[in-house]
Amino acid sequence: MVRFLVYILLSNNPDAIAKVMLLVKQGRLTLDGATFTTTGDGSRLSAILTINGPSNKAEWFTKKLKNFPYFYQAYMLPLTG
Amino acid sequence: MVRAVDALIKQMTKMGVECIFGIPGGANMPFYDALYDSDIRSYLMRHEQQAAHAAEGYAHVARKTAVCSGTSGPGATNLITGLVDAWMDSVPVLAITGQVVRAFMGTDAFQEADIVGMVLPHTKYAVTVMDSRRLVQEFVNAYTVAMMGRPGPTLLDIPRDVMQEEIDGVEDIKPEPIFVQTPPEPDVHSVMEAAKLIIDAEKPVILSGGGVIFSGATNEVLELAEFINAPIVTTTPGKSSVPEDHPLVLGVVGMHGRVESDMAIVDSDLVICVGTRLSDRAIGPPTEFEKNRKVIHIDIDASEFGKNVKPTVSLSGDAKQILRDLIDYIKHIASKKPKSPLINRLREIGEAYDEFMLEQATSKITSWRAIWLLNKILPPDTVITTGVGQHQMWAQLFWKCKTPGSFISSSGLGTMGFGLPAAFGAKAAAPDRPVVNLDGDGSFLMTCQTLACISDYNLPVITVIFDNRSLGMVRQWQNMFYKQRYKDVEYTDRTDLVKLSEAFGVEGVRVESYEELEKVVKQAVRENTAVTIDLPVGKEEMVFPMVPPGKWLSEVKLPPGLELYGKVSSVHPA
Repeated sequence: MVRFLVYILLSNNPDAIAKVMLLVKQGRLTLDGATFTTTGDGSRLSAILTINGPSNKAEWFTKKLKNFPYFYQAYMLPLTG
Repeated sequence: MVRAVDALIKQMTKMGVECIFGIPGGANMPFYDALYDSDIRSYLMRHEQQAAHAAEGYAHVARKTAVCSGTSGPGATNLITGLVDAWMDSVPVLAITGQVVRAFMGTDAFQEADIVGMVLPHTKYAVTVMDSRRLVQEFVNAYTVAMMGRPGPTLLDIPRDVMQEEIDGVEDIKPEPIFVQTPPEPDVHSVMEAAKLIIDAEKPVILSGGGVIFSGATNEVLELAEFINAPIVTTTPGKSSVPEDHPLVLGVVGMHGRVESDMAIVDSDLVICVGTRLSDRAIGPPTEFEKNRKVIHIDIDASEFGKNVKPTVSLSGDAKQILRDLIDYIKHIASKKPKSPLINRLREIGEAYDEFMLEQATSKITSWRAIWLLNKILPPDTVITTGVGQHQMWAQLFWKCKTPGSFISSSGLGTMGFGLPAAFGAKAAAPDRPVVNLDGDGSFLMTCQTLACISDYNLPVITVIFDNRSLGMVRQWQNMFYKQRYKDVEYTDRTDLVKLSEAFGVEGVRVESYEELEKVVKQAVRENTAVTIDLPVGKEEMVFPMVPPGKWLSEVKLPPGLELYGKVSSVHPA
């Protein structure tokens, strides 16, 4: 199990946020924390999620987000300790 | 100024939408009103689930996004099974649903349902269009992204008043940048690494999945296989990705795969997986699959790498492009590999299985022999659809596809009732090709109203019902894993499938011999007419080979009485 931070730039709408959470569920990941903040003209959100789960699922989660046209960017950073 | 929905239909026409499958209702009536003046054909289905499956059948054959529609509430929720089916098998389907007017949304209004919320886990994109000026743009986005990257379903939910609002005319709409999912170029370093693995491998096998069909990579798969002399096995969705009469193609692998395909994987030291998510049904336990062999995984969806199986090398992008680069590189650095005796040995195993099954002496018609016969008499470009159950497994074992993309089944979701509406959609896409639905009586009865559409639109589909008056696959599992405690798997004999078909306006025939079957099918093909054939088969039939759930492919159970011990090291009679 690893703890990792995910940064996501997404469309500012509830469906996009729901999609993030559905992928957390599908990956059988657990959420330690999530912050969503509007950016720029308000049409996008920047999200920072702290997530726990198997390392292959962490990678899967970040890559999977890129399949859906709600997400502009997604990066993962493993956390130690 | 123009009605938003008229602008939508104009854009649909412009983008090549030729037909839609659906049912009108209160909330999508403006959509149907706009269709009235367009050249887009609309097929009035008898249930929205069937509309979605028909769209899947159409998308498979036309190789483009297909459109289905339903009204708000139950019309939309009835589409869900078909959309999830399309999601599991990566089929580009766009659902257009009506929604209650904006002022009523969120009030539990009549026929209001949050369809977007319901389909979000199983669609690439779903949106309720709240601004009429965005309607055409959202259609272009949803229609395009369904086919781009890894194909999949999308949904456009449109409140009735949004459809009716007047907007400025729209011209030359392109998908917004986030909806343009261009596959990445093959990574040169990974191509070189994969090539080295392939050259060094002694017993490589190619596992060809459904992604090969949508990528149009059939020729590249064959070219690679021929150059390295590797056997090709397929997943169920990839069954028609390569012609099964090719000497290197062994057939479907997995739980009810061909025994020679299972053995090819078991014996391999490298598997080149193309356009497949490596599901449990295809490969069994991933830990076993990863053991003692290297894995090259090629897929357009990079999230598949390591999801089930950890690849030695992964290549993200379009299968055709990656294979082209890989083949060109291998040809530069290595010479063609000589023919391996392994392939002959594997083919001998397959032939022994076929021979054993076809020689089974029985007074009844057997499902496998009937499919084997149909395969002999139907033209090579015949499109096959199936329901879900034993007949589907017999079809994957005994039907040999000769044309890419010609075998359409519900592989991932396993949706009983898929076959008939999918066949209708396939026939709408290819009216000049024979379309045959191989169905079970259980599956057929779930969506048999599609017969009315076959009759209405004169889209002649041939249906062969393998009629064992039971839920055969469930019965088989109750036999094997639940101590033969048969519960709710047998139907009474009261339903007359011939009369039922004729009630919908499609000729029905009960067939009692192989000769009759051949005669009826040949006539239907020759005259391009619809027919429903009720083919009684025994409920005691059990589909073998079978790899028990959770077991490795080497633990495949063979039909009782079939002896292969001299040919392979580790197979077991059932």
